[in-house]
Amino acid sequence: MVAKIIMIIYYLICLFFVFITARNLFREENSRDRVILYLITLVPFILRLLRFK
Amino acid sequence: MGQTMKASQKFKIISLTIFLAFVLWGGWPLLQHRNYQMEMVCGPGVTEVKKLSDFFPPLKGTAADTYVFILQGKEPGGKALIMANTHANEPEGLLAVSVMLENAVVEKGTLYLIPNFNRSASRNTRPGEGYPLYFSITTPWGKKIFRLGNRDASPLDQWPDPDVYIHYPEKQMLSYLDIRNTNRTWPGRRNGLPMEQVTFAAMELLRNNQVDLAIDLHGAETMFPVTNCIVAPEKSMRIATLASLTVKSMEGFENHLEGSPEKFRGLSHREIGDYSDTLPFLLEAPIPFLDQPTGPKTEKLLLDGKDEFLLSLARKNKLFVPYDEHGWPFDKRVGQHLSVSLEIIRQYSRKTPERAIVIKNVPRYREVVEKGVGSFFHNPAEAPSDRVIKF
Repeated sequence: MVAKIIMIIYYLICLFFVFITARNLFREENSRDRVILYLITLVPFILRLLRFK
Repeated sequence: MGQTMKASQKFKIISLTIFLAFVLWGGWPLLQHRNYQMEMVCGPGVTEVKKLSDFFPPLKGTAADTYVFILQGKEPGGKALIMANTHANEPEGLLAVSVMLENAVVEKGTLYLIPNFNRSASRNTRPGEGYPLYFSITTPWGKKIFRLGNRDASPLDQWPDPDVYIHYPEKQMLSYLDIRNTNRTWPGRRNGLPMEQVTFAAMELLRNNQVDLAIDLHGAETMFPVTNCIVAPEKSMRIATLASLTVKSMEGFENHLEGSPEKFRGLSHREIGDYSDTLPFLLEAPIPFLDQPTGPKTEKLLLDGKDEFLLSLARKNKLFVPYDEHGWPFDKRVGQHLSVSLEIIRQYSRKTPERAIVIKNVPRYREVVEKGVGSFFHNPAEAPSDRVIKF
């Protein structure tokens, strides 16, 4: 049960990182490098949230 | 300024689209692999199909629950459990157990078969090392496709990993990854993480049913000393020795003995023996696909075990098994597992006739090598639907 709660918390952490990275992505106006960096950063979080990998 | 913003928005939309396309392109096959169903035809000897959760109910409905096939003989006798895919990237065990469940008939005693012990690992993969997601075996009726899994359970089913895995109940510190390795979580824990519960469920099966023998089928690198062997603790060593000597003299292949180390915890060959009355054995067949210094990890390498780099190393005596241009084909590895498993059961039956287990219709090494493992599989399309199990 404790392990399940920890797992859920980790998914919530994942969701949080997706949220702040996506927010930074949409707010970024000047640096194309940062846009790419944000997108690459999102890959593992998106794959985990979609339960692909 | 407005034009700059427009260009920036355009760049973001294009990048995001490309990004999503890449995520789907890379991720979708993984999702399909995770949900791909392998098919097995229950042979005439299968009398009951259960799940591990029938022996330990908390597993019910979880990704860790897996099938247990029971082949009950007409005469009472001893009991044996044979399990495969403890490590789902060592699939010769899966094929050996599948051949048994599609063909074996038990005349005396009971045989428990678990073809996909770490089900979660069989739905995981190792894309970083370029593992193929599937492999196929040629049969008289077409190709039979299997999922190729990974050594450890999927993080989708058990996550996060601890910094250090502390084994229960021996408290030995092990690699964090081994918390998802069902050959490090024996004897398991009732209220532990899913993989600890899988091994606990198997222990419940062994203890509550007074199972005499447990055989865990694996594959190991040719450059690893514990390969092409039977690993057994002290209590199983006599039977293992007789089996090893018999297959060498009667069937002509080497399968040496390795003692189960007392101070390395969590392994089936150690904990099953220490925490139950069952005699455990772990069989290792050489699998060149797992070696590090090979060419690409292709399906062909998995099937035929031929690799020019390993051949070069063999000429320099760097391998622990004989290796030539014929490689280590699947048929040979599966054949060895079948012969050694049958021989362990036969030797035990000779030693304790009141607990004998008599199994018929399972091919041995030579027959598998001659005919090919695919010739022992039945076409699910032609079998009655209630005898076809998907997992």
